[in-house]
Amino acid sequence: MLFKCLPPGAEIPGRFPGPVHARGKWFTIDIHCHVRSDKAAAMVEGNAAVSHWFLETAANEQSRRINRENGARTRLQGSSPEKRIEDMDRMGIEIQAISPAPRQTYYGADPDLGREASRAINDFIAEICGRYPDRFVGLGTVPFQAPELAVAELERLHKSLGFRGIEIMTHVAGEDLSAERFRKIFARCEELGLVVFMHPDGFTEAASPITILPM
Amino acid sequence: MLFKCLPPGAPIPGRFPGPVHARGKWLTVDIHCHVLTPQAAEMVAGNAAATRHPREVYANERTREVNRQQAERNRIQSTSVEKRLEDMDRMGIDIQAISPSPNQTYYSADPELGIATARIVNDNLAEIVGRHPDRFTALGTVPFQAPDLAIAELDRLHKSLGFRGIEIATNVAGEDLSAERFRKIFARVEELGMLIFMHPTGFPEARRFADHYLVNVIGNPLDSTVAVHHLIFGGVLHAHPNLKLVIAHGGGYLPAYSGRIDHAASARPDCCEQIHRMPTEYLKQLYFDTIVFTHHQLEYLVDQYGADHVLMGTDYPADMGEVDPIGFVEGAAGLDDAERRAILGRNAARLLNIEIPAAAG
Repeated sequence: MLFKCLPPGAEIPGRFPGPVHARGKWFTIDIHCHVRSDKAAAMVEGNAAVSHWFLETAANEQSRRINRENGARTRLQGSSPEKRIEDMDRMGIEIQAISPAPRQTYYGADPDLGREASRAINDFIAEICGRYPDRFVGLGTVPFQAPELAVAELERLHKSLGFRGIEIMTHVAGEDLSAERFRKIFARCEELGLVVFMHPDGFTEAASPITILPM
Repeated sequence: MLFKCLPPGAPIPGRFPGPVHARGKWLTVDIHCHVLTPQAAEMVAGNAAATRHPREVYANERTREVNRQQAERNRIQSTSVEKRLEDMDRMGIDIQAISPSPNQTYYSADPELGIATARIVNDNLAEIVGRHPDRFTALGTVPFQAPDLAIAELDRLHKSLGFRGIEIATNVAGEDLSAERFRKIFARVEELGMLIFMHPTGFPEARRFADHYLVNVIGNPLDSTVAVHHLIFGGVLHAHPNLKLVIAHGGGYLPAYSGRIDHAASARPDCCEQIHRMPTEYLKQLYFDTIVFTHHQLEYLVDQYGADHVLMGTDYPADMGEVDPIGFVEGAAGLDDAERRAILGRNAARLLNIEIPAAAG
């Protein structure tokens, strides 16, 4: 049903948590689910280069407002592992392979900030996995914008944090992933046998806010 | 085989004309094939606005060179009716619904130049049809950038030139087709019962598409995807349910991943303001050509949208075309002959009001 046709107070379809499924019938792993690190968000707050976000800049005012409301509504689900486990139990999910909220890859940050934010996010993910090792596995983030630092963080994820993979975006602050300087990151991921989960963050060329005129 | 691995002198697969098919087995109508009108090209020569095409702007030097070679190689096929008929005979095509070379819609020209070039292009198409009315039908062009002039030309196409449809691009010099000022054009097309063949001209903001010819390889189906989303979410397809709208290249990417739009419309208030039914219901009003290259994709289109919504096309004479359109449809194991017959010609004959010869297969 169209959103606008829902009766007042009706359950909104497509909002988490979904319907109930008992665990046990299947062994279930969710490869695509996000956590949000408040600490990392605080580190980049007010930094214009980092906060550039295509899902925001290419959206009209109404979409931005809805996005803000959604952000507030899903805040607890984004950051609380206990709420997350409650939802997983309801939905029949055994394990989540948790990855950062796409925006938190912060590829637009300068190298030092990129590394520090990555570490904060990865430590947050590691903490969740450490508290509930039978329910979570971590897909971390590395600062692609600084390949040497990315490789170093990759080693730390692998050796110290026990992560099985990373999340990457579909571009690095507008630079395509085929650029020569990123090859060493892919080579190291391959060598370490890590999973790379690629997630977009909107479209770089979606320049103009979409204005749909009233009928 | 990769292009670079072909032995010297080998025929290059994917170049027109494709393999031989005898005419007569099926009635065959090619809904997607282009004609270049050199006189119109001369009228805009040196006009920076009118000749700015994403395909050229967002291309690296290697791609520009390949494009220049292609244009030269295709020139006869693009302009000579005799060569075109020779190729059609070889490939088993009974009728081509010829449309302008996509760059010749010239939507970024000023209104006067836009109407002048449209008339020249349309007159050229009309002349070809007039010389061989049993082999060609025309899809003209109208200057969308000037809606009143577009409607006047639409009426001329319909009344004086006997055209059955028009080609439109996927945006109007960057402006989306859902803009209010274009509504009257769609309304008139619907009223006249004309077909619209929508063909992209690359992606308008294609900074990341300059290498590997991505401006066409991705950019074309992507801009069709964007255009169809605007027509659905912007309410155009709701307002004009009888539009006969054919989307090139199998409809772009939306037909294969349509569930996301229905999810959006049920999850968010900003995704259902102008529509009254689920978005995929509007998608099912559309028609798609067969330029998808794999049988599983063709069969998927038929399965999801119906054999009566898929029309055979070639993209003649472009290098991104399907040179064996009959063999492609015949070889789709998941289709039966009634579906093949519909796709190869009957659907286009129905939508274009082409009389089906009594002896037609």
